Amino acid sequence: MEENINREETAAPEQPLLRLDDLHTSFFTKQGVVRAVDGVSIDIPAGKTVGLVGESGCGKSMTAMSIMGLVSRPGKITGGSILFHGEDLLQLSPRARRQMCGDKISIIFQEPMTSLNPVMTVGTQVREAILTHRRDISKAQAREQVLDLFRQVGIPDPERRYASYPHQLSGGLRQRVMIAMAMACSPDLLIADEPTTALDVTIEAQILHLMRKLQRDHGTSILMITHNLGVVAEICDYVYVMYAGKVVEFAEVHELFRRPSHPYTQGLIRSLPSLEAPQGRLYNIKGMVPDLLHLPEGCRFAPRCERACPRCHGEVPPLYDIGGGHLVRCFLYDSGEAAPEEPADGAGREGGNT
Amino acid sequence: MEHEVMLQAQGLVKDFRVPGGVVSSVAGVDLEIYRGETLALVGESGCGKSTLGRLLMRLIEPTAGKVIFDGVDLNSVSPARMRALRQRMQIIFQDPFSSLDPRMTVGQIIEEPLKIHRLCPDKKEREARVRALMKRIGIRPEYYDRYPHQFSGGQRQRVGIARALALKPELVVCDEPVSALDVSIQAQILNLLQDLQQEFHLTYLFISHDLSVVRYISDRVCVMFLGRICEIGDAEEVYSHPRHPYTKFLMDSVPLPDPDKRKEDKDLLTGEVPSPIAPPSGCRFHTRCPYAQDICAQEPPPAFRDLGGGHGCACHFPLD
Repeated sequence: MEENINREETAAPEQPLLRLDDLHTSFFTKQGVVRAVDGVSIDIPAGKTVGLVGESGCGKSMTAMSIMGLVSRPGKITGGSILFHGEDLLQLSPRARRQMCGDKISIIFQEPMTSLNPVMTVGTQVREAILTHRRDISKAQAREQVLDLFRQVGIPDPERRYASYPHQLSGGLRQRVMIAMAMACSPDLLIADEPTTALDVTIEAQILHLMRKLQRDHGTSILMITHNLGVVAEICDYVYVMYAGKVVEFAEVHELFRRPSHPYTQGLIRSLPSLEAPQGRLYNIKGMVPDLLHLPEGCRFAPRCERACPRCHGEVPPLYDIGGGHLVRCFLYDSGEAAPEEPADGAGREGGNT
Repeated sequence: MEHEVMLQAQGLVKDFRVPGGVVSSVAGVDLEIYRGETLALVGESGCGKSTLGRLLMRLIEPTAGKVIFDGVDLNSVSPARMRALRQRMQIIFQDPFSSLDPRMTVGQIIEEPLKIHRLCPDKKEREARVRALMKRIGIRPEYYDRYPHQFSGGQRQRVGIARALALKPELVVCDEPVSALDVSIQAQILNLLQDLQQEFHLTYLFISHDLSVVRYISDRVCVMFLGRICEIGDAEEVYSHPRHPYTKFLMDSVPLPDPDKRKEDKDLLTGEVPSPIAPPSGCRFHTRCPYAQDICAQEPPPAFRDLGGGHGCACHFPLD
């Protein structure tokens, strides 16, 4: 509601491949309404990797599930739009939506073991994915495509692996199978939800390398959902930081790490132990992530924020542009020329328009 | 600097029978832990670091070799003596969800070790002690009667720490204690562990796969690969000057929170961890090692090449 983004400055010049505009996804539980995604606006430009980073419960995965149409009861998308190639996915029939997701949008999850069918060989599973979306090719042709995909994602000995069951593969190979399946229909957008979190660090490096290569070869846009700031820095072009259901900061990746501006982002970066240098005592953000059922008034980070002022406890800050499209949801930036005007009451969705 | 050896492992081996063969999860490890230090065991999944941690506490029995704690051979002491020794060594587990009994209140959980070891027979006094410990560890004593599910992951990990400290141990094995926690909570727990170490003169064996966390917390680091130690030394020395190719590649693989230091596509370690059922001959790392030569496939590297200052490396051709 209080989104106040000047799109012309923030997004890539042309129309983004995907635009979330003031998306709301809530869960209606016995204890009350959980606003997991609370007015999130995100642009994913074509051919770019956009990071969505935050801690558990910040709404980053639910944002992905909303895009894929995988929110199930008691959850519901209650507002906003998801524009893909300019078309609102939320207005499509369930059937058309399903066709779109899988054909043009794919997702890979953290733990490939739970996303793969344990009683089907991995080759057959990927072949099924191809045949579901391509009616014009034979099974034999699809098999060839699978083997080709396996080669592209670096699965050694693809013919033998074709006939393997998921449990016979290592975590890294399983994730490669998932990526092969996700790439099967040459999607325009790949959503990767913590794709390397369950993997060892040397395998993680390989998978990130693979994703970068696939992007280069196919021009796929990637939405990278992660809690790992190292992964963000390694692979993303733009970054959105989420906290308790809201985007609190957005910037180009170099800008974000050079000039983290929201106290939460600053705290996150400062609390990381360093690999490269010895370090004194770690900074830590006091307290913990708020319970989404009992959100604090005003800025959701205020109870943990060292720089909170009385205003923060009463009013939700809008996103301020602090220069070059770097957006920060914090009253600290409520002065200076870069900051746009605050939205009037009931400004509604206007912020989303170009 | 004089080091007092608190715990020593000699030729430790642990084999597990699995379908299709035998896995030497720990395949010949010699190790010393000094009093008052934090020694980190680091390596990728399946390298045997957790198994080694459990062997060192005698939670499992070794196939060969022995563990000496404060001069006592743990594998030949009487059960009564072992029980007494257990007070002095405790463990904190990774998963704060499955390592706490859901049907006990957190007060009972922290109190249980005191009861088992009959350290504090008076009920009132015991409860007072638990409450004091809860306060120190950062859980409000009023929550004594709450159940684990009513707490967040970070708070549950604090309960696990309180339980481990209830007996005033000397050695605490921390098995991936912050891996399941969010970054902001991770920093809180790491700082708490450091404070407690100072306050209670603890010795930590810190098992982790996170190289950044290990650098922050440890005095010495021991890097493992497929059941063997490949490098050990002072943390600063190992991090600033890794000598084993595996250590170097491990460190180079970590994505850094700095987009100006992207790895892009350079220096990737190729291939997968070899099967532990049929580990490679010679040096177990040779199949992935870019510096491997013929001898690496034929002969295991000399057990330890002392590179000075307690920095050891098991490699035919240590890096400069």
